[in-house]
Amino acid sequence: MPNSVSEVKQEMLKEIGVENSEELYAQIIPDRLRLKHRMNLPKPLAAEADLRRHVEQILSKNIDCNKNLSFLSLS
Amino acid sequence: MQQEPEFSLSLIIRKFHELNGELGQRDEIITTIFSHPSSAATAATAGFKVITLYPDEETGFPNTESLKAAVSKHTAGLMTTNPEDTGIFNPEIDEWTKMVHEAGGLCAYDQANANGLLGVSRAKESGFDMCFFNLHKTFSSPHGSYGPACGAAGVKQELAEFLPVPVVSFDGNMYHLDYDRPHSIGKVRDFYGNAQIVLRAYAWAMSMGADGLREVAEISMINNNYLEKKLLSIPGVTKPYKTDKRLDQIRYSLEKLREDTGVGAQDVIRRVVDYGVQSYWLSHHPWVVPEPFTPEPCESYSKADIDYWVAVLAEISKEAYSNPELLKTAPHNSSIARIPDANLEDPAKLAMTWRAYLRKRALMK
Repeated sequence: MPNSVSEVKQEMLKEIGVENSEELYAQIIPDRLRLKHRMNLPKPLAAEADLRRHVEQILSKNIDCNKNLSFLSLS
Repeated sequence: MQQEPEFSLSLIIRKFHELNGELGQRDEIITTIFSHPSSAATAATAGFKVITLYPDEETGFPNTESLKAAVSKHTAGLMTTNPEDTGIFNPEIDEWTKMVHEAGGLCAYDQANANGLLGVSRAKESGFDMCFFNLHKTFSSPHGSYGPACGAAGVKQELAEFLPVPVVSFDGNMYHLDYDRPHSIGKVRDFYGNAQIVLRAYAWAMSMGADGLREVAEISMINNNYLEKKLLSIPGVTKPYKTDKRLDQIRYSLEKLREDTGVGAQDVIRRVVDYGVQSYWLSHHPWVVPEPFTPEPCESYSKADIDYWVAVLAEISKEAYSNPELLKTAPHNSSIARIPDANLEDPAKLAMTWRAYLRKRALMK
């Protein structure tokens, strides 16, 4: 994300006139509608090679016509 | 597209009341005018009457009093977007869902505008029974008809039996496509939809993680509010409704520009392509905001991109005040100039293919 660089983010927040993004959220979403905990997601795969390996491992579980005899016409 | 999950939610509302024996009585779906029109459209396609609520004229907030007046024993459900296309988040949304539940209806959340909400606020806290996300736009694929679209719907456990078939099941060893679901609303889409977009969204979410997605939300909100500061300094651009801070988008108006110069939103959007900028989203119909445009910077544009975009609009505003004819005849550096769209509004001429058009003309003779 291009604007995740801290200096850029600060510059933009300054232009908006707030200290941080929390100040914006506080003006938009009431506290009772806020998610109070971190989303329960697996640890991110930051390296593209790791991500690729992970996704390809999942896709390799597919049973396709290259691995199995198929009588479906291909044309 | 966004229409499939939304249509699924409409059909689930229908099936739910049908099995309760109340479908005859509950034939109304409530939505708001700044929700996506697909809420109203899919509800109507599913056979419901649609009640459309208008916002408070001053603040732009969806009007809770008008919802109170609309709910009744005829209410089948609520289908709404939050934040709406104005970027305004309804802070009383939990009261809305409570009111509809008390009347006996279900609540469906269109989360197509979720960019500013990831990890910040969910359908659950707002009291919804079901929701859907756009995997295009919110989950990294290009949006606005520039890439294949895909929506992902989710429902509460109690409504899972109504989900469309096939659903994926797991027997501990193998995954299967399960069609044997007696209360399912049936199949809503040919084949399996845009599976590549599901894969792309999954890979993207796995590379971002919880903190990354939370940062996506923050940056899309910061980008939007930064863009607002810059845009509102351009002569002719105004922001309707007094509600100050918005989430991931804002529906602006060029009404002032049109009054001053005769140049409207349709002319400006045609001129931007001359500056190497892709045309952007104006508004769904009907145009409640006059001469509308709705930029959505999301998290993906750099500050430099946004600054360039603003500079283009500032230049076009100058052109409008000095040489409106230049905009009336735009674009000038594009292979396609102006497509007459009056034909699209004439049912006698509207057809999906040339052959269908000829057939239609022949039948009408």
